[in-house]
Amino acid sequence: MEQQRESSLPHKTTASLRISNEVVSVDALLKTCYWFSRDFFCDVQKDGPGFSLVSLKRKDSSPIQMEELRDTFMNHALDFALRERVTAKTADIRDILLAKAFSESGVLEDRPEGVFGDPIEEAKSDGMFKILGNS
Amino acid sequence: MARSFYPPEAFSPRPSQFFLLPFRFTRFNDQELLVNEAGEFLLAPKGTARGLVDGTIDTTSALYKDLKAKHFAYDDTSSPLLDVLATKIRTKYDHLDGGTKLHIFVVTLRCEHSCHYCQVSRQTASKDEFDMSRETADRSISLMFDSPASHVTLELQGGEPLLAFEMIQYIVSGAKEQAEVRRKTLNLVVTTNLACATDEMLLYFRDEGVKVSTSLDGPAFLHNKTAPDRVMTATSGRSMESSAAASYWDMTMSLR
Repeated sequence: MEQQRESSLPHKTTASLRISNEVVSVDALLKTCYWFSRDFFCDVQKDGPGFSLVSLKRKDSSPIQMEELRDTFMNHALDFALRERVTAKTADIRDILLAKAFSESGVLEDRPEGVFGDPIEEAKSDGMFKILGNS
Repeated sequence: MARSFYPPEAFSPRPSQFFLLPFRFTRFNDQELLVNEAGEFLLAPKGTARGLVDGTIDTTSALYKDLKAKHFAYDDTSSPLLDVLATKIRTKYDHLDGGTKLHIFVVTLRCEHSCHYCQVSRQTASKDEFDMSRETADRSISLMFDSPASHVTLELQGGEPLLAFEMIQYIVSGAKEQAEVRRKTLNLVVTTNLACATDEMLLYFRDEGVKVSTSLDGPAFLHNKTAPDRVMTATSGRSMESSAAASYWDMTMSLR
């Protein structure tokens, strides 16, 4: 899926990750890099068909050590990939929820299943529930 | 409105499948923090978000029940709950349509009850220092009307607000005056256990158009059990016996 190419610099302050865009989209990689940009200088380049190359250069203030960089970056990247799946899977129901939430007339509200009413009240010919419901 | 029970099949022990509702998640210490569209959250074991997306969460597990209750997933037994979630979303974002409309004034932290479910850090009824000051009341009224909302609701709460009845009168008077100046509609509500309500208070609420919100926790034995130091006659019974309450009850009382 990905390879790490650590630089030959003495302090290993840079690293490159080759990542399949079938696993993590370019958008997800860019979002991951955004969150890493506080601690790393980041760059994303195409690296052949279906692959991206992420280059990371550690800032002095970074609390993330180079040894843990690959795992940490991939955890975050896979989280963003998962969020994309959540968004894709829930887009339709989200639209429905927002439409229901903000419809002024209430026409989008579903009537709950089951029978409304109080059996004793319903037994009365002029009972309130006879008038209001179950028509 | 009363409602009959669902048919037996509605209580099927295991849904055949479940569906996702929109949510966000992040890693939080050794867990995952899941937040739904209405802002409700759940701290769940690592891997929960992936389990939801992959459909591998055990639908008989306690975790699934939590996920369903907090609106992260639904199944064929819970579709009416979508309206509940929609209502929560509407409530959460209601302030976007014209600004904050509900303003709660805690006029005192004093209370003579000790209901175990109460969120207020109550003080003993004798400590006047836990009442709202007039300066705070004036500033709060001003802040309330600074809201862009053209209709605002001022809810008087506590503690037990009736223990600070003079402050209630001061706030109601001041708020009404400001409502006229600022040309806004004002709804007034007092949330009280009614235990120390007097005829004078209830007549005042009636005359000033202050709605009364109170709660009964069921029959007397249950109602009294939730607060060891109160008895039914000291709450609903007391107020119902009041001569003013008898005429007031039908007008503006709302039971929660």
